[in-house]
Amino acid sequence: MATVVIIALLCTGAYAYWVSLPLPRTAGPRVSITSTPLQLSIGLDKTEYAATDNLTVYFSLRNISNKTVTLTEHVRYGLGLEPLDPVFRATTSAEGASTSEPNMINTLFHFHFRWVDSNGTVIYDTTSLFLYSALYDIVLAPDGYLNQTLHISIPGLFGIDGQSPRIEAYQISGMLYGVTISGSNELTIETPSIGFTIQ
Amino acid sequence: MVLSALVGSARGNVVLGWGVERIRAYCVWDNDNWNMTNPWDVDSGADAGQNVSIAVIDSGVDYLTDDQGQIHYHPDLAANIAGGKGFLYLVEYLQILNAYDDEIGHGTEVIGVIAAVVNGLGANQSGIIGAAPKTHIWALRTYGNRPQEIAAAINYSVDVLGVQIINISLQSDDNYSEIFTACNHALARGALIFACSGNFPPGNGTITYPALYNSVIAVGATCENDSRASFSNYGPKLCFMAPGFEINTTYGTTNHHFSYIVDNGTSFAAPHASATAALIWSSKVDPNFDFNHDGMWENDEVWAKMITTTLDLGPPGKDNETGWGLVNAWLSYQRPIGDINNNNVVDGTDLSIVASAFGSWPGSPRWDPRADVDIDEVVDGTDMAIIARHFGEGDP
Repeated sequence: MATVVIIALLCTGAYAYWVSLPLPRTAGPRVSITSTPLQLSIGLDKTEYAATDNLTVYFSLRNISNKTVTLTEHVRYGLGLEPLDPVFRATTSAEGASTSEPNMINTLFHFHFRWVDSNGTVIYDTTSLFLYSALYDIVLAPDGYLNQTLHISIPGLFGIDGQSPRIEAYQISGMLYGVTISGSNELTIETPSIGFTIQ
Repeated sequence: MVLSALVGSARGNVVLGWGVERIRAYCVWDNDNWNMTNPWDVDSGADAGQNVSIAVIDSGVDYLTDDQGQIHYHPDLAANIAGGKGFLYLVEYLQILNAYDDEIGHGTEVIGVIAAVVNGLGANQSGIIGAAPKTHIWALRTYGNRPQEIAAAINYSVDVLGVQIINISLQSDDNYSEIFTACNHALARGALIFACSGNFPPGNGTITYPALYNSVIAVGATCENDSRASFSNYGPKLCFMAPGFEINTTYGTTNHHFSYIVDNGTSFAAPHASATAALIWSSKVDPNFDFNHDGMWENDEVWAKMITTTLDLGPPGKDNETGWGLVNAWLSYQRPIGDINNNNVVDGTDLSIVASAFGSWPGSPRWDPRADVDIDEVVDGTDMAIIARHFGEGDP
Protein backbone atom coordinates (compact mmCIF):
# COMPACT_ATOMS: atom_id res chain seq x y z
CA MET A 1 0.00 0.00 0.00
CA ALA A 2 2.80 2.38 0.95
CA THR A 3 4.49 1.68 -2.37
CA VAL A 4 1.33 2.60 -4.23
CA VAL A 5 1.06 5.86 -2.29
CA ILE A 6 4.71 6.71 -2.99
CA ILE A 7 4.31 5.94 -6.68
CA ALA A 8 1.14 8.06 -6.77
CA LEU A 9 2.95 10.93 -5.06
CA LEU A 10 5.87 10.63 -7.45
CA CYS A 11 3.53 10.65 -10.42
CA THR A 12 1.68 13.66 -9.02
CA GLY A 13 4.97 15.46 -8.43
CA ALA A 14 6.21 14.65 -11.89
CA TYR A 15 2.95 15.88 -13.40
CA ALA A 16 3.09 19.08 -11.35
CA TYR A 17 6.63 19.69 -12.57
CA TRP A 18 5.62 18.97 -16.15
CA VAL A 19 2.73 21.42 -16.17
CA SER A 20 4.88 24.11 -14.54
CA LEU A 21 7.38 24.13 -17.39
CA PRO A 22 7.23 27.41 -19.31
CA LEU A 23 7.30 25.75 -22.70
CA PRO A 24 4.88 22.88 -23.16
CA ARG A 25 6.57 19.52 -23.51
CA THR A 26 6.29 18.49 -27.08
CA ALA A 27 7.33 15.57 -29.16
CA GLY A 28 9.16 17.96 -31.44
CA PRO A 29 12.35 19.97 -31.09
CA ARG A 30 12.87 23.08 -29.05
CA VAL A 31 15.60 25.71 -28.86
CA SER A 32 16.29 28.64 -26.57
CA ILE A 33 18.43 31.71 -26.48
CA THR A 34 19.38 33.51 -23.31
CA SER A 35 19.82 37.26 -23.35
CA THR A 36 20.03 38.04 -19.67
CA PRO A 37 17.63 38.58 -18.00
CA LEU A 38 15.40 36.87 -20.55
CA GLN A 39 15.21 33.44 -22.05
CA LEU A 40 13.35 33.11 -25.33
CA SER A 41 12.32 29.63 -26.44
CA ILE A 42 10.57 28.18 -29.44
CA GLY A 43 9.38 24.61 -30.04
CA LEU A 44 7.43 22.56 -32.55
CA ASP A 45 5.03 19.71 -31.94
CA LYS A 46 6.92 17.48 -34.40
CA THR A 47 9.48 17.62 -37.18
CA GLU A 48 7.61 16.04 -40.08
CA TYR A 49 4.34 17.46 -41.34
CA ALA A 50 1.91 16.56 -44.06
CA ALA A 51 0.94 19.28 -46.50
CA THR A 52 -2.53 19.28 -44.94
CA ASP A 53 -1.35 19.58 -41.32
CA ASN A 54 -1.33 22.40 -38.83
CA LEU A 55 2.12 23.48 -37.72
CA THR A 56 2.05 24.10 -33.99
CA VAL A 57 4.69 26.49 -32.71
CA TYR A 58 5.30 27.09 -29.03
CA PHE A 59 6.80 30.39 -27.92
CA SER A 60 7.96 31.17 -24.42
CA LEU A 61 9.56 34.19 -22.79
CA ARG A 62 10.89 33.78 -19.26
CA ASN A 63 12.51 36.14 -16.81
CA ILE A 64 15.48 34.16 -15.52
CA SER A 65 16.70 36.88 -13.18
CA ASN A 66 15.65 37.62 -9.62
CA LYS A 67 14.41 41.09 -10.52
CA THR A 68 11.24 42.27 -12.20
CA VAL A 69 11.86 43.04 -15.87
CA THR A 70 9.89 45.53 -17.94
CA LEU A 71 9.99 44.87 -21.66
CA THR A 72 8.68 47.56 -24.01
CA GLU A 73 7.43 46.34 -27.37
CA HIS A 74 7.48 49.12 -29.98
CA VAL A 75 4.86 47.64 -32.29
CA ARG A 76 1.78 45.47 -31.86
CA TYR A 77 0.06 42.82 -33.82
CA GLY A 78 -2.70 40.36 -33.28
CA LEU A 79 -1.76 37.48 -35.49
CA GLY A 80 -3.60 34.32 -34.66
CA LEU A 81 -6.46 35.97 -32.86
CA GLU A 82 -8.78 36.44 -35.76
CA PRO A 83 -11.67 33.96 -35.74
CA LEU A 84 -12.37 34.63 -39.39
CA ASP A 85 -8.78 34.00 -40.40
CA PRO A 86 -8.38 30.26 -40.99
CA VAL A 87 -4.59 30.38 -41.19
CA PHE A 88 -3.58 31.29 -37.66
CA ARG A 89 -4.88 30.42 -34.21
CA ALA A 90 -3.16 31.40 -30.98
CA THR A 91 -3.56 30.74 -27.28
CA THR A 92 -1.85 32.43 -24.36
CA SER A 93 -0.83 31.33 -20.89
CA ALA A 94 1.21 33.32 -18.44
CA GLU A 95 2.33 33.43 -14.84
CA GLY A 96 4.02 36.39 -13.26
CA ALA A 97 3.50 38.31 -16.47
CA SER A 98 1.34 41.34 -17.17
CA THR A 99 0.89 44.03 -19.81
CA SER A 100 0.41 47.77 -19.43
CA GLU A 101 -3.25 47.28 -20.42
CA PRO A 102 -4.31 43.97 -18.82
CA ASN A 103 -6.44 42.98 -21.78
CA MET A 104 -3.42 43.03 -24.08
CA ILE A 105 -1.89 39.91 -22.57
CA ASN A 106 -4.43 37.86 -24.50
CA THR A 107 -5.37 40.07 -27.42
CA LEU A 108 -1.88 40.63 -28.81
CA PHE A 109 0.63 38.19 -30.20
CA HIS A 110 3.85 39.04 -28.43
CA PHE A 111 6.37 37.05 -30.48
CA HIS A 112 7.68 37.14 -34.00
CA PHE A 113 8.91 34.33 -36.18
CA ARG A 114 10.71 33.80 -39.47
CA TRP A 115 10.02 30.73 -41.60
CA VAL A 116 12.40 30.08 -44.51
CA ASP A 117 12.85 27.29 -47.02
CA SER A 118 16.05 25.36 -47.71
CA ASN A 119 17.29 28.16 -49.99
CA GLY A 120 16.74 30.78 -47.33
CA THR A 121 13.72 32.19 -49.16
CA VAL A 122 11.28 33.66 -46.69
CA ILE A 123 7.97 31.84 -46.48
CA TYR A 124 6.61 34.03 -43.70
CA ASP A 125 8.25 36.72 -41.60
CA THR A 126 6.08 38.53 -39.12
CA THR A 127 8.53 41.43 -38.83
CA SER A 128 7.74 42.41 -42.41
CA LEU A 129 3.99 42.54 -41.79
CA PHE A 130 2.20 45.83 -41.34
CA LEU A 131 2.29 46.31 -37.60
CA TYR A 132 0.38 48.72 -35.38
CA SER A 133 2.63 51.63 -34.41
CA ALA A 134 1.81 51.62 -30.72
CA LEU A 135 3.98 50.67 -27.78
CA TYR A 136 3.15 48.54 -24.79
CA ASP A 137 4.93 47.05 -21.82
CA ILE A 138 5.28 43.45 -20.71
CA VAL A 139 6.25 43.13 -17.06
CA LEU A 140 7.77 39.84 -15.98
CA ALA A 141 8.24 39.04 -12.31
CA PRO A 142 11.25 36.92 -11.32
CA ASP A 143 10.75 33.51 -12.94
CA GLY A 144 7.61 34.84 -14.59
CA TYR A 145 6.81 33.57 -18.06
CA LEU A 146 4.62 34.32 -21.03
CA ASN A 147 3.72 31.43 -23.33
CA GLN A 148 1.87 31.55 -26.63
CA THR A 149 1.01 28.67 -28.90
CA LEU A 150 0.43 29.35 -32.55
CA HIS A 151 -1.35 26.89 -34.82
CA ILE A 152 -0.59 27.61 -38.46
CA SER A 153 -2.61 25.94 -41.19
CA ILE A 154 0.07 24.86 -43.67
CA PRO A 155 -2.28 24.74 -46.69
CA GLY A 156 -3.87 28.00 -45.55
CA LEU A 157 -0.55 29.81 -45.26
CA PHE A 158 0.70 28.77 -48.66
CA GLY A 159 -2.76 29.24 -50.09
CA ILE A 160 -2.76 32.95 -49.27
CA ASP A 161 -0.79 33.48 -52.43
CA GLY A 162 -2.43 30.64 -54.30
CA GLN A 163 0.44 28.21 -53.91
CA SER A 164 0.47 24.63 -52.68
CA PRO A 165 2.85 23.66 -49.88
CA ARG A 166 6.17 22.53 -51.32
CA ILE A 167 7.56 19.20 -50.20
CA GLU A 168 10.90 20.12 -48.74
CA ALA A 169 12.85 21.09 -45.63
CA TYR A 170 12.20 24.35 -43.80
CA GLN A 171 13.52 26.24 -40.81
CA ILE A 172 11.78 28.44 -38.30
CA SER A 173 13.12 30.78 -35.64
CA GLY A 174 11.42 32.83 -32.93
CA MET A 175 12.08 36.48 -32.21
CA LEU A 176 11.50 39.39 -29.95
CA TYR A 177 11.48 42.29 -32.39
CA GLY A 178 11.88 45.96 -31.59
CA VAL A 179 11.98 45.78 -27.82
CA THR A 180 13.73 47.60 -25.03
CA ILE A 181 14.38 46.00 -21.69
CA SER A 182 13.99 48.32 -18.71
CA GLY A 183 15.17 51.33 -20.65
CA SER A 184 18.07 49.75 -22.53
CA ASN A 185 18.69 50.22 -26.25
CA GLU A 186 16.33 48.62 -28.70
CA LEU A 187 17.13 45.09 -29.68
CA THR A 188 15.96 42.02 -31.44
CA ILE A 189 16.48 38.61 -29.88
CA GLU A 190 16.29 35.63 -32.23
CA THR A 191 16.48 31.97 -31.33
CA PRO A 192 18.46 29.44 -33.34
CA SER A 193 16.42 27.84 -36.10
CA ILE A 194 14.52 24.58 -35.86
CA GLY A 195 14.38 22.37 -38.94
CA PHE A 196 11.26 20.54 -40.08
CA THR A 197 9.96 18.99 -43.25
CA ILE A 198 6.72 18.97 -45.15
CA GLN A 199 6.33 15.50 -46.60
CA MET B 1 -9.69 52.24 -17.11
CA VAL B 2 -11.61 54.99 -15.32
CA LEU B 3 -11.81 58.47 -16.76
CA SER B 4 -10.06 60.01 -13.77
CA ALA B 5 -6.91 58.10 -14.69
CA LEU B 6 -6.64 59.78 -18.07
CA VAL B 7 -4.04 62.45 -18.74
CA GLY B 8 -5.48 65.79 -19.70
CA SER B 9 -7.79 68.55 -18.57
CA ALA B 10 -10.84 67.18 -16.78
CA ARG B 11 -13.84 69.40 -16.24
CA GLY B 12 -16.74 67.60 -14.65
CA ASN B 13 -16.89 64.19 -16.24
CA VAL B 14 -15.32 65.30 -19.51
CA VAL B 15 -11.65 64.84 -20.28
CA LEU B 16 -9.83 66.78 -22.97
CA GLY B 17 -6.64 64.95 -23.86
CA TRP B 18 -3.48 66.99 -23.75
CA GLY B 19 -2.95 66.28 -27.45
CA VAL B 20 -6.26 67.87 -28.45
CA GLU B 21 -5.47 70.74 -26.15
CA ARG B 22 -1.90 71.14 -27.44
CA ILE B 23 -2.84 71.50 -31.10
CA ARG B 24 -5.52 73.89 -29.84
CA ALA B 25 -8.31 72.02 -31.62
CA TYR B 26 -10.80 73.03 -28.96
CA CYS B 27 -10.43 76.68 -29.99
CA VAL B 28 -12.11 75.68 -33.24
CA TRP B 29 -15.21 74.06 -31.79
CA ASP B 30 -15.44 75.12 -28.13
CA ASN B 31 -15.75 78.84 -28.69
CA ASP B 32 -17.10 79.66 -25.25
CA ASN B 33 -14.09 78.16 -23.56
CA TRP B 34 -11.54 80.84 -24.22
CA ASN B 35 -11.43 81.72 -20.52
CA MET B 36 -10.80 78.03 -19.71
CA THR B 37 -13.47 77.83 -17.01
CA ASN B 38 -16.48 76.34 -18.78
CA PRO B 39 -16.86 72.57 -19.06
CA TRP B 40 -15.35 71.06 -22.15
CA ASP B 41 -17.94 70.68 -24.84
CA VAL B 42 -18.56 71.05 -28.56
CA ASP B 43 -20.63 74.03 -29.59
CA SER B 44 -23.58 72.95 -31.65
CA GLY B 45 -22.94 75.33 -34.53
CA ALA B 46 -19.17 75.07 -34.62
CA ASP B 47 -17.11 73.58 -37.41
CA ALA B 48 -15.74 70.36 -36.00
CA GLY B 49 -15.24 68.14 -39.00
CA GLN B 50 -18.88 67.78 -40.03
CA ASN B 51 -19.42 66.76 -43.65
CA VAL B 52 -15.91 65.31 -43.66
CA SER B 53 -15.36 61.55 -43.84
CA ILE B 54 -12.23 59.80 -42.65
CA ALA B 55 -11.45 56.17 -43.37
CA VAL B 56 -9.41 54.65 -40.57
CA ILE B 57 -7.61 51.62 -41.99
CA ASP B 58 -6.77 49.65 -38.90
CA SER B 59 -8.09 46.86 -36.65
CA GLY B 60 -11.72 48.03 -36.88
CA VAL B 61 -13.76 49.55 -34.09
CA ASP B 62 -15.09 47.99 -30.92
CA TYR B 63 -18.81 47.21 -30.99
CA LEU B 64 -21.43 44.93 -29.53
CA THR B 65 -24.20 43.33 -31.54
CA ASP B 66 -27.43 42.76 -29.63
CA ASP B 67 -29.99 40.01 -30.11
CA GLN B 68 -31.81 42.07 -32.74
CA GLY B 69 -28.61 42.47 -34.74
CA GLN B 70 -28.29 46.11 -33.74
CA ILE B 71 -24.71 47.36 -33.44
CA HIS B 72 -23.72 49.37 -30.36
CA TYR B 73 -20.48 51.37 -30.42
CA HIS B 74 -18.43 52.86 -27.63
CA PRO B 75 -20.65 55.63 -26.22
CA ASP B 76 -18.05 58.28 -27.04
CA LEU B 77 -17.84 57.12 -30.65
CA ALA B 78 -21.43 56.23 -31.43
CA ALA B 79 -22.34 59.65 -32.81
CA ASN B 80 -19.61 59.63 -35.41
CA ILE B 81 -19.16 56.10 -36.72
CA ALA B 82 -20.66 56.02 -40.18
CA GLY B 83 -19.99 52.30 -40.58
CA GLY B 84 -17.24 49.92 -41.54
CA LYS B 85 -16.05 46.96 -43.55
CA GLY B 86 -13.60 44.12 -43.12
CA PHE B 87 -10.95 43.20 -45.68
CA LEU B 88 -9.65 39.64 -45.75
CA TYR B 89 -7.30 38.33 -48.42
CA LEU B 90 -6.86 34.59 -48.75
CA VAL B 91 -6.01 32.32 -51.65
CA GLU B 92 -5.67 35.16 -54.13
CA TYR B 93 -9.19 36.19 -53.31
CA LEU B 94 -10.19 39.35 -51.48
CA GLN B 95 -13.29 39.23 -49.35
CA ILE B 96 -15.03 42.41 -48.21
CA LEU B 97 -16.88 41.54 -45.03
CA ASN B 98 -19.55 43.31 -43.05
CA ALA B 99 -17.78 42.47 -39.78
CA TYR B 100 -15.29 45.07 -38.59
CA ASP B 101 -15.30 44.51 -34.83
CA ASP B 102 -12.00 45.38 -33.18
CA GLU B 103 -10.23 42.43 -31.55
CA ILE B 104 -6.98 44.29 -30.93
CA GLY B 105 -8.29 47.63 -29.67
CA HIS B 106 -5.90 49.70 -31.76
CA GLY B 107 -8.42 50.96 -34.30
CA THR B 108 -10.77 52.03 -31.51
CA GLU B 109 -7.91 54.05 -30.03
CA VAL B 110 -7.05 55.79 -33.29
CA ILE B 111 -10.69 56.65 -33.96
CA GLY B 112 -11.10 58.10 -30.46
CA VAL B 113 -8.26 60.57 -31.06
CA ILE B 114 -10.12 61.92 -34.07
CA ALA B 115 -13.78 61.70 -33.26
CA ALA B 116 -14.65 60.84 -29.66
CA VAL B 117 -17.49 63.02 -28.46
CA VAL B 118 -18.58 62.57 -24.84
CA ASN B 119 -21.59 60.33 -25.14
CA GLY B 120 -22.78 62.05 -28.26
CA LEU B 121 -23.14 65.47 -26.70
CA GLY B 122 -26.11 64.35 -24.62
CA ALA B 123 -27.06 65.27 -21.09
CA ASN B 124 -24.91 64.05 -18.19
CA GLN B 125 -21.89 64.22 -20.39
CA SER B 126 -18.97 62.03 -19.50
CA GLY B 127 -16.10 60.75 -21.55
CA ILE B 128 -13.48 62.25 -23.80
CA ILE B 129 -13.42 64.55 -26.81
CA GLY B 130 -11.39 63.95 -29.95
CA ALA B 131 -9.78 66.62 -32.09
CA ALA B 132 -12.48 66.76 -34.77
CA PRO B 133 -15.57 65.58 -32.89
CA LYS B 134 -18.13 65.84 -35.68
CA THR B 135 -16.20 63.87 -38.29
CA HIS B 136 -17.78 60.82 -39.93
CA ILE B 137 -15.59 57.79 -39.42
CA TRP B 138 -15.43 54.65 -41.55
CA ALA B 139 -13.72 51.84 -39.67
CA LEU B 140 -12.00 49.64 -42.25
CA ARG B 141 -10.57 46.55 -40.64
CA THR B 142 -7.72 44.74 -42.36
CA TYR B 143 -7.89 41.25 -40.90
CA GLY B 144 -4.33 40.14 -41.50
CA ASN B 145 -2.72 43.49 -42.30
CA ARG B 146 -1.72 41.92 -45.59
CA PRO B 147 -0.71 44.38 -48.31
CA GLN B 148 -3.56 43.22 -50.52
CA GLU B 149 -6.03 44.04 -47.74
CA ILE B 150 -4.55 47.48 -47.06
CA ALA B 151 -4.46 48.36 -50.75
CA ALA B 152 -8.07 47.24 -51.16
CA ALA B 153 -9.14 49.30 -48.16
CA ILE B 154 -7.44 52.41 -49.60
CA ASN B 155 -9.15 51.92 -52.95
CA TYR B 156 -12.50 51.25 -51.27
CA SER B 157 -12.11 54.44 -49.24
CA VAL B 158 -11.93 56.68 -52.28
CA ASP B 159 -13.83 54.69 -54.91
CA VAL B 160 -16.80 53.55 -52.83
CA LEU B 161 -16.92 55.75 -49.74
CA GLY B 162 -15.52 58.91 -51.31
CA VAL B 163 -13.73 59.97 -48.14
CA GLN B 164 -11.58 63.06 -48.02
CA ILE B 165 -9.05 61.66 -45.55
CA ILE B 166 -7.47 58.26 -44.91
CA ASN B 167 -5.62 57.50 -41.67
CA ILE B 168 -3.15 54.60 -41.60
CA SER B 169 -1.45 54.01 -38.25
CA LEU B 170 0.49 50.99 -39.48
CA GLN B 171 4.13 50.46 -40.33
CA SER B 172 6.22 48.07 -42.37
CA ASP B 173 9.81 48.03 -43.51
CA ASP B 174 8.73 46.56 -46.83
CA ASN B 175 7.56 48.34 -49.96
CA TYR B 176 4.53 46.76 -51.62
CA SER B 177 3.63 47.85 -55.13
CA GLU B 178 -0.11 47.42 -54.63
CA ILE B 179 -0.09 49.84 -51.69
CA PHE B 180 2.11 52.31 -53.56
CA THR B 181 -0.37 52.25 -56.45
CA ALA B 182 -3.38 52.55 -54.16
CA CYS B 183 -1.91 55.57 -52.34
CA ASN B 184 -1.20 57.32 -55.65
CA HIS B 185 -4.74 56.55 -56.73
CA ALA B 186 -6.21 57.98 -53.53
CA LEU B 187 -4.23 61.19 -53.86
CA ALA B 188 -5.31 61.53 -57.48
CA ARG B 189 -8.92 61.04 -56.39
CA GLY B 190 -8.60 64.02 -54.07
CA ALA B 191 -7.94 62.36 -50.73
CA LEU B 192 -5.20 63.01 -48.22
CA ILE B 193 -3.51 60.03 -46.58
CA PHE B 194 -1.90 60.50 -43.18
CA ALA B 195 0.34 57.72 -41.91
CA CYS B 196 2.49 57.38 -38.83
CA SER B 197 6.25 57.70 -39.29
CA GLY B 198 6.76 54.43 -37.38
CA ASN B 199 8.18 53.46 -33.99
CA PHE B 200 11.05 51.18 -34.89
CA PRO B 201 13.92 50.99 -35.73
CA PRO B 202 15.24 54.21 -34.19
CA GLY B 203 17.36 56.81 -35.96
CA ASN B 204 17.45 59.07 -38.97
CA GLY B 205 16.10 57.76 -42.29
CA THR B 206 13.91 55.17 -40.61
CA ILE B 207 10.45 56.25 -41.71
CA THR B 208 8.41 53.19 -42.59
CA TYR B 209 5.88 52.37 -45.31
CA PRO B 210 3.33 53.60 -46.23
CA ALA B 211 4.47 56.93 -44.74
CA LEU B 212 7.53 56.79 -46.98
CA TYR B 213 5.51 57.23 -50.18
CA ASN B 214 5.34 60.72 -51.69
CA SER B 215 1.57 60.43 -51.88
CA VAL B 216 1.35 59.92 -48.11
CA ILE B 217 1.86 62.49 -45.36
CA ALA B 218 4.27 61.18 -42.71
CA VAL B 219 3.48 62.18 -39.12
CA GLY B 220 5.85 61.78 -36.18
CA ALA B 221 5.08 61.89 -32.47
CA THR B 222 5.75 64.60 -29.90
CA CYS B 223 5.66 64.55 -26.11
CA GLU B 224 3.87 67.14 -24.01
CA ASN B 225 6.95 69.41 -24.03
CA ASP B 226 6.98 69.36 -27.87
CA SER B 227 10.12 67.22 -28.04
CA ARG B 228 10.21 64.36 -30.53
CA ALA B 229 9.20 61.16 -28.76
CA SER B 230 12.24 58.91 -28.51
CA PHE B 231 10.47 56.12 -30.38
CA SER B 232 9.35 58.33 -33.27
CA ASN B 233 11.04 57.53 -36.58
CA TYR B 234 12.27 60.44 -38.64
CA GLY B 235 14.00 61.38 -41.85
CA PRO B 236 13.71 63.63 -44.92
CA LYS B 237 10.21 62.40 -45.70
CA LEU B 238 8.78 63.54 -42.35
CA CYS B 239 6.10 66.18 -42.87
CA PHE B 240 4.34 66.91 -39.56
CA MET B 241 4.63 66.28 -35.86
CA ALA B 242 1.63 65.72 -33.60
CA PRO B 243 1.06 64.48 -30.05
CA GLY B 244 1.80 60.77 -29.68
CA PHE B 245 2.91 60.19 -26.10
CA GLU B 246 0.52 59.46 -23.23
CA ILE B 247 -2.53 60.04 -25.38
CA ASN B 248 -6.04 59.72 -23.92
CA THR B 249 -8.40 57.82 -26.07
CA THR B 250 -11.15 55.23 -26.30
CA TYR B 251 -10.36 51.54 -26.10
CA GLY B 252 -12.21 48.29 -26.45
CA THR B 253 -11.94 44.77 -27.79
CA THR B 254 -14.26 41.86 -28.29
CA ASN B 255 -13.67 40.68 -24.72
CA HIS B 256 -13.27 44.07 -23.04
CA HIS B 257 -15.77 46.55 -24.41
CA PHE B 258 -16.05 50.32 -24.16
CA SER B 259 -13.13 51.45 -22.07
CA TYR B 260 -10.42 54.13 -22.08
CA ILE B 261 -6.67 54.04 -22.29
CA VAL B 262 -3.56 56.24 -22.16
CA ASP B 263 -1.26 55.06 -24.91
CA ASN B 264 1.98 55.83 -26.77
CA GLY B 265 3.07 55.62 -30.38
CA THR B 266 3.18 57.39 -33.69
CA SER B 267 -0.12 55.58 -34.22
CA PHE B 268 -1.72 58.38 -32.22
CA ALA B 269 0.15 61.23 -33.87
CA ALA B 270 -1.28 60.51 -37.32
CA PRO B 271 -4.93 60.87 -36.23
CA HIS B 272 -4.22 64.27 -34.63
CA ALA B 273 -3.01 65.38 -38.08
CA SER B 274 -5.95 63.72 -39.84
CA ALA B 275 -8.33 65.53 -37.51
CA THR B 276 -6.62 68.85 -38.18
CA ALA B 277 -7.16 68.32 -41.90
CA ALA B 278 -10.81 67.51 -41.19
CA LEU B 279 -11.25 70.78 -39.31
CA ILE B 280 -9.89 72.69 -42.30
CA TRP B 281 -12.01 70.72 -44.73
CA SER B 282 -15.22 71.39 -42.78
CA SER B 283 -14.64 75.14 -42.74
CA LYS B 284 -15.34 77.61 -45.53
CA VAL B 285 -12.53 77.66 -48.05
CA ASP B 286 -9.74 80.14 -47.39
CA PRO B 287 -9.35 82.36 -50.48
CA ASN B 288 -5.61 82.54 -49.87
CA PHE B 289 -5.35 78.78 -50.32
CA ASP B 290 -8.03 78.28 -52.96
CA PHE B 291 -5.41 77.84 -55.63
CA ASN B 292 -7.83 76.91 -58.41
CA HIS B 293 -10.41 79.51 -57.32
CA ASP B 294 -13.26 77.02 -57.31
CA GLY B 295 -14.54 77.96 -53.86
CA MET B 296 -13.91 74.48 -52.50
CA TRP B 297 -11.17 72.75 -50.58
CA GLU B 298 -8.96 70.35 -52.53
CA ASN B 299 -6.43 68.01 -50.94
CA ASP B 300 -3.40 70.03 -52.04
CA GLU B 301 -4.94 73.19 -50.61
CA VAL B 302 -5.61 71.60 -47.22
CA TRP B 303 -2.11 70.16 -47.16
CA ALA B 304 -0.59 73.55 -48.04
CA LYS B 305 -2.49 75.34 -45.30
CA MET B 306 -1.40 72.76 -42.75
CA ILE B 307 2.24 73.28 -43.77
CA THR B 308 1.92 77.06 -43.65
CA THR B 309 0.44 77.09 -40.17
CA THR B 310 2.59 74.62 -38.23
CA LEU B 311 4.51 75.57 -35.12
CA ASP B 312 8.09 75.19 -36.26
CA LEU B 313 10.06 72.85 -34.00
CA GLY B 314 13.78 72.24 -34.04
CA PRO B 315 15.93 74.15 -36.56
CA PRO B 316 14.08 76.84 -38.56
CA GLY B 317 12.10 75.46 -41.46
CA LYS B 318 11.68 71.85 -42.43
CA ASP B 319 14.09 69.41 -40.85
CA ASN B 320 14.47 65.65 -40.62
CA GLU B 321 13.55 65.28 -36.97
CA THR B 322 10.39 67.39 -36.84
CA GLY B 323 9.36 67.98 -40.46
CA TRP B 324 7.50 71.28 -40.88
CA GLY B 325 6.61 71.21 -37.19
CA LEU B 326 3.65 70.66 -34.90
CA VAL B 327 0.24 70.73 -36.55
CA ASN B 328 -1.72 73.79 -35.47
CA ALA B 329 -5.44 73.12 -35.66
CA TRP B 330 -6.35 76.59 -34.44
CA LEU B 331 -4.29 78.63 -36.91
CA SER B 332 -4.97 76.30 -39.83
CA TYR B 333 -8.69 76.70 -39.21
CA GLN B 334 -8.66 80.51 -39.20
CA ARG B 335 -10.05 82.09 -42.30
CA PRO B 336 -8.39 84.28 -43.17
CA ILE B 337 -5.38 83.56 -41.00
CA GLY B 338 -5.52 86.00 -38.10
CA ASP B 339 -9.30 86.08 -37.80
CA ILE B 340 -9.48 84.78 -34.28
CA ASN B 341 -12.99 85.93 -33.47
CA ASN B 342 -14.48 84.18 -36.49
CA ASN B 343 -16.09 87.20 -38.10
CA ASN B 344 -14.39 86.55 -41.45
CA VAL B 345 -12.14 89.59 -41.34
CA VAL B 346 -8.86 90.38 -39.61
CA ASP B 347 -9.60 93.63 -37.85
CA GLY B 348 -9.09 95.68 -34.75
CA THR B 349 -11.04 93.22 -32.63
CA ASP B 350 -8.55 90.48 -33.39
CA LEU B 351 -5.69 92.82 -32.56
CA SER B 352 -7.32 93.84 -29.30
CA ILE B 353 -7.79 90.19 -28.25
CA VAL B 354 -4.06 89.62 -28.71
CA ALA B 355 -3.21 92.94 -27.04
CA SER B 356 -5.33 92.10 -24.00
CA ALA B 357 -3.56 88.77 -23.54
CA PHE B 358 -0.13 90.01 -24.51
CA GLY B 359 2.59 88.50 -22.35
CA SER B 360 0.34 85.79 -20.89
CA TRP B 361 0.87 82.05 -20.90
CA PRO B 362 -1.28 79.04 -19.90
CA GLY B 363 -2.32 79.47 -16.30
CA SER B 364 -1.69 83.19 -16.10
CA PRO B 365 -4.69 85.44 -15.34
CA ARG B 366 -4.93 87.10 -18.77
CA TRP B 367 -4.32 83.90 -20.74
CA ASP B 368 -6.55 83.61 -23.79
CA PRO B 369 -5.69 80.58 -25.92
CA ARG B 370 -7.23 82.20 -28.98
CA ALA B 371 -4.61 84.94 -28.87
CA ASP B 372 -1.72 82.48 -28.95
CA VAL B 373 -2.24 81.85 -32.64
CA ASP B 374 1.12 80.20 -33.24
CA ILE B 375 0.46 77.89 -30.23
CA ASP B 376 3.92 78.40 -28.73
CA GLU B 377 2.27 78.79 -25.29
CA VAL B 378 2.90 82.52 -24.94
CA VAL B 379 1.08 85.49 -26.41
CA ASP B 380 3.88 87.60 -27.82
CA GLY B 381 5.10 89.66 -30.72
CA THR B 382 4.92 86.71 -33.09
CA ASP B 383 1.18 86.41 -32.57
CA MET B 384 0.78 90.16 -32.98
CA ALA B 385 2.85 90.02 -36.16
CA ILE B 386 0.63 87.29 -37.65
CA ILE B 387 -2.45 89.41 -37.02
CA ALA B 388 -0.74 92.52 -38.38
CA ARG B 389 0.48 90.73 -41.50
CA HIS B 390 -3.06 89.70 -42.39
CA PHE B 391 -4.79 92.85 -41.11
CA GLY B 392 -7.60 93.92 -43.37
CA GLU B 393 -7.92 90.59 -45.12
CA GLY B 394 -11.47 89.37 -45.22
CA ASP B 395 -14.13 87.45 -46.98
CA PRO B 396 -15.64 89.52 -49.76
